[in-house]
Formats: sequence, structure tokens, C-alpha cells
Amino acid sequence: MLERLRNAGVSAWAVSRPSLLAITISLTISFVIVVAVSEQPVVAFRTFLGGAFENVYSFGSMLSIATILILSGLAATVGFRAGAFNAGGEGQIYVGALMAVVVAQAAPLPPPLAITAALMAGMVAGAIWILVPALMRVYLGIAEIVTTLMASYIAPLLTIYLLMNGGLRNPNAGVPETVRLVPELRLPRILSPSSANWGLFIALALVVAYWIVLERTRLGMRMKLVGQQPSFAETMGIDNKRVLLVSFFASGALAGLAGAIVSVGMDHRFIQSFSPGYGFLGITVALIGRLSPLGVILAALLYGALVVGAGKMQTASDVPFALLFVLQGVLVFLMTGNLAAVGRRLFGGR
Amino acid sequence: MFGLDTFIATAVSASAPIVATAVGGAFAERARCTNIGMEGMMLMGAFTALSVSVISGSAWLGLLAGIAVGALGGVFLSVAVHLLTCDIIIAGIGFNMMVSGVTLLLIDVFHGESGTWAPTRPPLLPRIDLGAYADTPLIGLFLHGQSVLVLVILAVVVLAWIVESRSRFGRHIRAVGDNLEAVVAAGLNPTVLRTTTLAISGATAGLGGSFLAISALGVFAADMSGGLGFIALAAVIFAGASVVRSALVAVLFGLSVAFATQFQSSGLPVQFVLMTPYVATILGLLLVGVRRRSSGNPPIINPTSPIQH
Repeated sequence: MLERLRNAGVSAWAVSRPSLLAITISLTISFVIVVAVSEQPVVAFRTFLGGAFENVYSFGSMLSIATILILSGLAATVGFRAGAFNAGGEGQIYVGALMAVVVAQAAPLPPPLAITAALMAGMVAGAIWILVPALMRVYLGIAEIVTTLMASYIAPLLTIYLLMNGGLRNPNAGVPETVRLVPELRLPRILSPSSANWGLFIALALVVAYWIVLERTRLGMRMKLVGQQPSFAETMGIDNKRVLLVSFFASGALAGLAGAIVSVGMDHRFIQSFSPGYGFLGITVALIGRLSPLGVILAALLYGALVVGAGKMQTASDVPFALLFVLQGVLVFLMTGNLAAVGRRLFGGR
Repeated sequence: MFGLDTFIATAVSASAPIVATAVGGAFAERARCTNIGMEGMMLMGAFTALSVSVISGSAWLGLLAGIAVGALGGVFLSVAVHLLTCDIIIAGIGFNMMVSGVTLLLIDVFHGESGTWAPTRPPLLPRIDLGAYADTPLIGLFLHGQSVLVLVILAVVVLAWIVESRSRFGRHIRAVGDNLEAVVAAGLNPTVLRTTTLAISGATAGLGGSFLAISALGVFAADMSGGLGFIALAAVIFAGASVVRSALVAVLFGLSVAFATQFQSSGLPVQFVLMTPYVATILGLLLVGVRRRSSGNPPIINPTSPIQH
């Protein structure tokens, strides 16, 4: 056991080096942006990086956002592993979030079971939302990237329609949103009064489950094989289509669960346009984590801290929250590109 | 009540940005450069067109800047793909995220606005005034009162068709897509050719984005391209990367918007009107898949593998 840990430690450095390099470069780029646009760059940048660690409340906020990002990052990861690009996590999060609130309120069950039912309903909703793109990809060969994106434009519109016309809207709220869940139907909080909640443990448990499936089961082995060498997998007698479908549905369900936990654990209701792009951030998290279970957790914590930091930076200085989205795009390039090759090409050497 | 003229006007203005973007997208797709980044290139085109229009006081300069910046975006994506060796699909998604962030950042930094920037009395491109011919069947219905950009976009379609079918460059692009070895053997540089097609795609996406920003309202809103770049890509895929067919399919998607808008007056909820182009796009791609399957071509399963090293 110890041996394995030690070996893991060595390879962990090799595995995480590209991520650390990409993070360093992109933080440098964002520092340059901050210097360019800000009157008080040092305050702004310090708040961006450290805002999440100022007090227990902001630390808790960081954990609650990281919870959602672990799940949406895991959703993207599960897809990528088998060669499926679920670019529509955002939409699955919306349908999962609304479905969870509806089921929690309607289920005639004792509270713990009602919460469980709500979370499962969110997963089912997310899986249903990826059904059409998944079937089109697997049976008709239509690239899932455009269809999942299209579905993610439809989801916020559909959920807002249901909210306004399905008798779900809280008449006393200014913003379109549902009534709040009664306290018994909420996931318990940790680090109250921040919005961190037991969803974090659910997310961590699912990462462990993902690791077990990936490393210790035939399904996991098949997923990796289908993702890396589809034709070889075919020759090995693996049913590529089935493995791909399973990955799609798992991906949709995980994103749906992320939405459900926003509703049941964080906001305690469904709010119109509640997501600051959790679904897209999930793609970045999956890439920074290099599709590894531990990597996804670390990347989600990092990005959770940056989301909280960006919010504080916006209030504390003249640098807007949007810096976070710039960074997100830059990180995608740096994580998927081959920096070493560029270095060799630009500066010569080996 | 809705009349035929309003219907056609809606269809034309809904189609124009998708048509423009799809035309360049067809070039890139033909050279096997699937340009997911068109969405972001539209967005940066829209932002730049409005900014330069306001600063210079000339909407025409704004248009040129919007097109130029879109082309630069195409070159940027090409650098990410060829120098940084990113997967083109994932780099495109990253590009869109980045542009979305940069435009938000800039309207906040320069205009103190979060989400929407509405300058006071921005210069707009002129509208087509056919005067006495406004009631001419067909031409009057289609063009009178529309932005001159509609004419520009029509001209671009014709020009692109000529380049595609009659020029050496058009043949080279087809060769890059079909037979890479032959291109290299002929002494051509495939990277340069691909970069050019991505720049062309970026330029027409910038044109489409400019249409959104400086043809009617003169407003920039966060993510105002609203998936039109992806819809244009779907049109290109549907049309098998032919310029004219891509433009026609783009018009079909625009028509779906006009139809939905028409149904709004008879009680279709606004959310369903707004989701129409996305639903139409999925249905369109479904048709592509069914057609491909019934013609005996097996579905291609190309896995997307983002981490390659």
C-alpha cells in the first residue's frame, strides 16, 4: 500500500507538471490583464487568488462551488474518457436543478428519502437531456458537440417556461424562482452560514466510485480502450456503442446531479439563470485535472477558489468577474496544447 | 397581425448572420478545419464592430474592423491548432470561452457595464431604400428596409461560390481536405492553406457578428451571438461543406425563426419561439445522420481525446 502511494507520488509530479505549468502561465496572463486594466492591480490580484481564504464564510462558499465543479468536471471527464465530448453540461445542470426542486416538493416521502429522490430525479433529468445527442452520435455518427450545445441553449428556455407556466413560481420573489424548500428537504449545511453542504461528500464519494469503476472494473477498462483505441476495442469484441452510451448517460446524470445539488444543497430553490457557467467550467476542470479522479477534485477546488476570489475582486477593486472566464479559455488552450513542443520550436534545443 | 412582408423581413434578418458565418465555415470545413470557434469569432466581430463604429463615428469602419478581428480570431485558432497542437474542436470551445470572457471584461472596463453595452446613438449601417420600387414583387419584399449588410452578405456568397468553384485556391482547399499527400507533393503548405481557410471563416463570422451589432440596434450584449455560430456550423455540416448549399441551409434555419415568430402572435410562448433555431438545428443534423445511414455509409465514430501527451 505504502509502496503504491510512493510510486503514485512520483508519477503524480510527472502527471501534474503540465497542469501546474498551464496554471502558472495562465495566472501570469491574468496578472498582466489585471495590471493593464486596474488602478489597484495588487489589491485586485491578491483578492482574486486569496479571496476564498479570507474567512470561514468565503472558504465555505469555495467548498460549495467546488462541490458543483467536482460533479460537472466529473461529468465532462466520464465523457472524455470514452471519447464523448459532452459540451452541454450547462443544459443538463438546468434541467437537473428544476427537476430536483419539483420532486423534492411533490414526493410524498419522509424527508431523507425525498432528498434522495430529488437527487436521483436530477440525475434522470440530466441523462434524459443528453439522450438525443447520445443516440445521434452512437447510431448516426453525428458529432455530439453541436447537438449537446444546442440542447444546452434549449434547457434554460424550457425550465423558465415551466417555472412561469407550471405553477412553480414564487409570487413574492422579484426574480423568477421557485418557493424555497422547507428546511427538512435541504441537504444539511457545513460551515454554516456559508452554502457549503453535504453535497460535497456526495461529490467526493462519486469521485471515488469513478476511480473504482475506471481502475478496477471491466467497464472502466473498456471505457478507456474505447476512448483511446476504438478500432482495437472493436477487434477485442467490445461493444463500442454500448460503452459509449453508458458514458454519455453517466455524464448527463452527473451534470444533472450537479444541478440538483445546487437546488437542494446550495440555493434551496430554482432560480432563473442561476449558473455562472458551471457546465462549461466543468470542461475546464476536467482538462486541468487531466481526467484523473484526484486531479478533478484539485482542479475543482482551485476553480472554486477563483470563482469566490473573482466575486470578491469585483467588489473590492475595479477588475470585473469576467477575468475568470478569460482565464478559463486560456487554460483550455494551455491544458490541451503541447507546451513542451512549443518551447522546443520557439527556443530551439532538444 | 402578421403579414407576409413582416414574415419575410424577419426571415431575412434572422438568416443573414447565419448565412454569412456559414459561407466561410464551409471553406474551413472543406479543408478539414471544423471551426467551432465561429461562435466566438461572431461575438468578437460584434463587439469590435460596435466599438469601432462608436469611436470612429463610421459604421463602415466598424464593419471592416469586425471582419478583420474575426479573421485574426481564425488565425489565433490556427496557431493554437498548429503550433500548440491543440485538438481543433476543444481549442474552438476554449476560444469561445475566452472571447466571451474578454468581451465581458472589456465592456466592464471601458463602459462600466456588466452584460449589456448600449451606447447612445451609435452609428448604424444604412438601410436599403428602394424608393419607388419598394413594392416590386420579390426584390422589394426581400430587400426594402433591410440593412445594406444583407447586400454585402449576398455579394460574399457569390464571391465565395466563385472562389470555391472557379479558382485555384478553391481547388487547393479541396485538395487539403481530400488528399493531403498530393498537396505536400505539389509543394503547397497545408498549414498555410488551413490557416487561410480559418481566417476566411473568421472574417465571415466577424461579418455575421457585425450584422448583429450594427445593422439594427447598435447594442452589444454578453454572448449575443446566442449559438448562431454553432447553428452556422450545423448548416455547413448539413450541406456537406458546399458554399451555396451551406448558405441555403442557413436560410432554412433563419426561416424556422420567422415561422416561430409568426406563431407567437397565435399564442406560442416566447420561450418556444426562442428555442426554435436550436431545435431546428438538432432536427437538421438528425436528417443528415438518417440520410447518411440510409445511403449505406456507416456512422463514423471519432473519439475526442483532449489529453494527448
